[in-house]
Amino acid sequence: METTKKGKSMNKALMMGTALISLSSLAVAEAQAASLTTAPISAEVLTPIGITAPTALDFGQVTIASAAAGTLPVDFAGARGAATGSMSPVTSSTVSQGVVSITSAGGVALRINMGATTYNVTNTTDAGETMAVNTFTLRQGTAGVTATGTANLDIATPATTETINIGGTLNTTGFALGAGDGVYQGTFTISAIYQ
Amino acid sequence: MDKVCKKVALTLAVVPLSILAEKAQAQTVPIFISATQELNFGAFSAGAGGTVTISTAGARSVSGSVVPVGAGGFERQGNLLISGEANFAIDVVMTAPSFTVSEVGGDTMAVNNFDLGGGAGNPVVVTIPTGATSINVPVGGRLTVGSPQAEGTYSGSYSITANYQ
Repeated sequence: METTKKGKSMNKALMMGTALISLSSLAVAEAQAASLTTAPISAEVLTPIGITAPTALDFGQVTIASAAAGTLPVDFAGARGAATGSMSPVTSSTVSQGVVSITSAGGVALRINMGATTYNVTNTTDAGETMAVNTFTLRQGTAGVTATGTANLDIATPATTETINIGGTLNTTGFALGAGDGVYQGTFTISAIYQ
Repeated sequence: MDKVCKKVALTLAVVPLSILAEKAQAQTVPIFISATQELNFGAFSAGAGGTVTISTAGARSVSGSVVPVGAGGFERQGNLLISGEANFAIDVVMTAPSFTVSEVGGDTMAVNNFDLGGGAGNPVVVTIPTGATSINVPVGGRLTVGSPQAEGTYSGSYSITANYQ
C-alpha cells in the first residue's frame, strides 16, 4: 500500500516534470522564430530645369564719336543709363533688358549664375570688330532678389516658372572715324541649378 | 514495486538536467523589429541617369549625371530598432537583394546594395548589450536612376528578418 502511494507520488512528480519540459520547449520555439518587418524607402526625382531666353539684351543704336573708350548701361528694368566717353545713345531707338525664363519643380531652391563677367558682341558684317558687355545685373521678376556680375542669384522658394531680367553695360575702346558701324551680336551664358 | 520506483526515480533524475540544458540554450525574449527611420534618398535631378547611394551614416553620394539637391535635407539612412534578449547573437538579413520604389505614374527604380553595417549586400550579426533590450541597426543602400527617369515622389519598402543564431 505504501509502495503504491509512493509510486503515485512519483508519477505525479514525473507528470509535473514532463509538463515543465513541454512549456520550456514552447518558449524556445517562440523565441527562435524569425522576426520580419518591412521598412519604408523614399526618393524624389525633380523636374529637369529648363532655360529659355525669349528676349535679347538690346542696347539699341549708339554712335561712337572717337577712338576713346565709352560705355552705355541698360539696367534690368530695360532703362538706358547715362552713356560715357565716346559712346552716345540714339534715344529714339528701342532698348530692352534681357529676359530669361527658368522652369523647375517649384519650391526647391534655385541658384542662378552668369557664367562669366564679360561677353563680346561682334560686328555681323565685319567679324574683326567687337565690343565687350559686362557688369551684368540680374533680378528675379520685377521686384525679387538681385545679383551683379558672376555673383549667385539664389531664389529660396521659386515658382515653377521664374523670369530673370538682365541688364548690362556695353563697352567700346573706340573705333577710327567711319569704321566700326554695323549690327553687333553675341550671346551670354547663364546657368540654373537646384540647391 | 521497488523496481518500478527505481525506474521512476531514474527518469526524474534526468528531467532536471533536460530543463537545465534547455535553459542554457534558449532565448526567452522574442525578437521584434521596428523601422524607426525611413531610408530616404532625398531629392535630385535625374539627368541621364546614374545612382544615388546613402551610407549607413546617412551620407549621400551620386554617380552618372544625377545631381543631388538639398544637401542636408531629407536624405538619410534607414534605421531599425531590434529588440530581444541581451548577449545573444542575432542574424539580421535582407529577404531579397533588390527592392523597388515606384511613383503614382507607375515608373520605378531599383534599390539594392543594402548595407546594414557589414558592407553592401552582406548580412550582419548583432548582439544586444548587457542591460539593454534593443539595438539600432542603420540601413544604407543604392538607388539606380534611369535615363530618362520620370519626375515624382517614389516610395516603396524593403523586408528584413532577424533571428537568434
